[in-house]
Amino acid sequence: MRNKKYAYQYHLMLLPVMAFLLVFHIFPVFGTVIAFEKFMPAKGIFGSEWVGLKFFQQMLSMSNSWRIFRNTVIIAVWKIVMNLLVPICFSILLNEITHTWFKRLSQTIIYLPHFMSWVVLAIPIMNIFSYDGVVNGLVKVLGGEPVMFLASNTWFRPILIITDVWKEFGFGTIVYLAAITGIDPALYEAAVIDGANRGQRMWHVTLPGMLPTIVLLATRSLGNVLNAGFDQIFNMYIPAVYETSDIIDTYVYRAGLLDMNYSLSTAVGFMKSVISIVLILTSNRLAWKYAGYRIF
Amino acid sequence: MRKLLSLLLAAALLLTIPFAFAEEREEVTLTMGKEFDYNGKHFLEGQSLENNYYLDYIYDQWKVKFEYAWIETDDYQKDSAAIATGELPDVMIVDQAQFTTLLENDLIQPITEAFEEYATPYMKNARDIYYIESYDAATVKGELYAIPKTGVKKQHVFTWIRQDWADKLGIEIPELITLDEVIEIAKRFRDEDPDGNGENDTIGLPLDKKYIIGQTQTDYIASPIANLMGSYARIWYLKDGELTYGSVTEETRNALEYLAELYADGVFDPQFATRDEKEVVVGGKCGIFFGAWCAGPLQNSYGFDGADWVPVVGPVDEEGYFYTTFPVPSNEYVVVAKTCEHPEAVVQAVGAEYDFHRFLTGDPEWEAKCTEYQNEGVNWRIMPIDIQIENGDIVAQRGIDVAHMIETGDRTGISLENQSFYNAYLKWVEDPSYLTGWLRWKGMALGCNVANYEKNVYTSPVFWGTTATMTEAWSNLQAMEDETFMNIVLGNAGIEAFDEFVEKWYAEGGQTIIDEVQAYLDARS
Repeated sequence: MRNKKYAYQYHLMLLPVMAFLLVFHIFPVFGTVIAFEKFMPAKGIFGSEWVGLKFFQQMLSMSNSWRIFRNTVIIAVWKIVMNLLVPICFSILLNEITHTWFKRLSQTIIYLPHFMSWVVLAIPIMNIFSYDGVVNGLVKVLGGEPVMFLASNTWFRPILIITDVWKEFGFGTIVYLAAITGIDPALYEAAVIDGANRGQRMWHVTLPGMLPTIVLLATRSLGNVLNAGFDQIFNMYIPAVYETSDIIDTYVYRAGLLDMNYSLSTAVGFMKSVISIVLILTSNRLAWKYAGYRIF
Repeated sequence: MRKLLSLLLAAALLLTIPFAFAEEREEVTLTMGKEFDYNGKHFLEGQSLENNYYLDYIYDQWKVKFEYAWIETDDYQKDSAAIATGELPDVMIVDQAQFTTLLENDLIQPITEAFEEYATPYMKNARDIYYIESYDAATVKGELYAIPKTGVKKQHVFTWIRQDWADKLGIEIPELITLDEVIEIAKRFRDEDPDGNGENDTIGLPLDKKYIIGQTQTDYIASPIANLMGSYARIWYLKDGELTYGSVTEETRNALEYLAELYADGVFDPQFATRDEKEVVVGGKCGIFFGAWCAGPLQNSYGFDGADWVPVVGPVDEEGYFYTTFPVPSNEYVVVAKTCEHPEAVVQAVGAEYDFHRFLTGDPEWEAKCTEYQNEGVNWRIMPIDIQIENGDIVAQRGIDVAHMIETGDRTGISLENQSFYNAYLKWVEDPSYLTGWLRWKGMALGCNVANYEKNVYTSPVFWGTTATMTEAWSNLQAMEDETFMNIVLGNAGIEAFDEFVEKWYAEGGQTIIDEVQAYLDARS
């Protein structure tokens, strides 16, 4: 019975968060119904004409649909994989450095961009990759022809992925470093006594020690397969690179908010949500199975 | 005591009565969604968007005040968001698609009566004489739902060249320029270091990244080249009597193919896709471009490094004909929200701001203030409801008038407004640092007269509204169009991308839309 009393207080503390969730996440879900209507703002959700699956049909008949879906998955998968690998490597390497001040300094520096929004970062990045920017300066020095990176369907996607990893890997690195700190030093001592060199210690002690954290973060990121990063792309793309960078979120924004095709854009967004839910459920199962972790 | 009090009261009442009659109406405040780009605009000392002569005159006449719900460089998103939530400011200026949505959603109110009663002669003249078609587009079931933009008919982009650079390189600027000459000059400006800084940092022709071709009133657009090749992209017109959408024609295919060649050849700015070309011109990196008589960067460029721009008719064909289009009669509408209690105040405000702007107040004091604005080069966009209301061929007339006054000094029969431009010119002759006067000479005496060139060939748009299918499919088709055009010119895609685009265009609603537009035109004739 004492437990119940504690639980009551905890639930009370949870109340503001629940209210937030209700207002901004649960309640808007019912708005999805406009995907099945020819929505007119003045007539509202209840007054608009019901058209069933009309907009889903239009979505499937549009030549753009496949493209935005494909772009979303490709960009998101690349980002997920790279955002997993780079911090793992980096944290293991950083862990080997014995100068504490250097370690601290590096952590802070690589962690900084994580706190900046894409609205701000897009400007320097676009300057760096512009026709007369730093990268093209380097290309010219090496004897190449300058490239319009930001208008090129070959280059734009890699730039999105690289800059995203650059922005986020510091955060992952810190999580992994924390995991490494948690490894029992006795294991390293035992390994040394057994004659393991640095490489072997990394491979046989550090990496296995990090594994639960890696599996946890990896499975959790699966739910993001359809989140390719609206902020970043929206601030950097131009029509010339829609071919390789127009994702579901940017399309929904343009169709819904700019072109006022509310129903069509909701239909596209709805499809994304459905697929995302499936992926989240899957990753949740995987996390439970392989890492003993579950969200619900 | 009581007697005294009641006497006082009566006196007070008596005193207030005449005032009550004088105050015919209460003060009205209109909320307005305002699009405004501060870049390149300036105000008189102490003035601002919220405090200027336009507002003063409107208040003086009608006791109407303005409160801006927002001020944005590009307020399209704000307008759309307001429409989505249904919470509109009293007044907005919207485009064709938004106007249609507002009508469908019953969010705006008719202003038929207010217009009849309060529109000034200037506004009614604009409606009656030249632009019946604009008002037709704004009228639904006999009710007027907006004050439409009535733009200038003869106003299109042509070639501007830097005389100082040309002199330096020994280039003779012809009076009529051909396409080959444009390209040759562009290449020489690109290669021969006309700015003399020893660096290879100048470009040939700038190019508009949003449209590339298709409008004829947007600076840097390559339409003069496309039109010369018979391509009239992005407008509905009659080609040999048959309804045609210009973006899907064989001529447009050829034009794009040619533009792609020019881009590959380095004639166009290699960075056009990612930057604002205005900066290139103002920054002194470019010596030739396609621009209108009032091209934005001219004055700044002149101020920056003395760029001596001259307008040239062209590019023309072998017989000297210049091909261009009339603008779409109206693509902007002043709408009044259903919730606004004083629709008449909107009409009054528009009337008053134009009376002030066109020297029609009949009051020397206000005319002096307007002269002050003209002399200082204060942009008309600072007026609260900045919709264009022009009486026809104002630009062509301005060209004739200002050139005439500069040549002869004779002002007889010339409007006060056009005289004010001449005054500014005179001021520049005395004081060369007065840039506005320079612009009056270059832009008006020379630039406006390009509209009077006798071998201009105009194509007229025949449709500019929104059909039923357009509301759902048009934005998608247009996005496809923008993207295809740009990728072809950039060389990201071959010209076969155009054929693919045309095929998709017809399949994804284009054909239906053509039928709808045809039906509309049939019903009208």
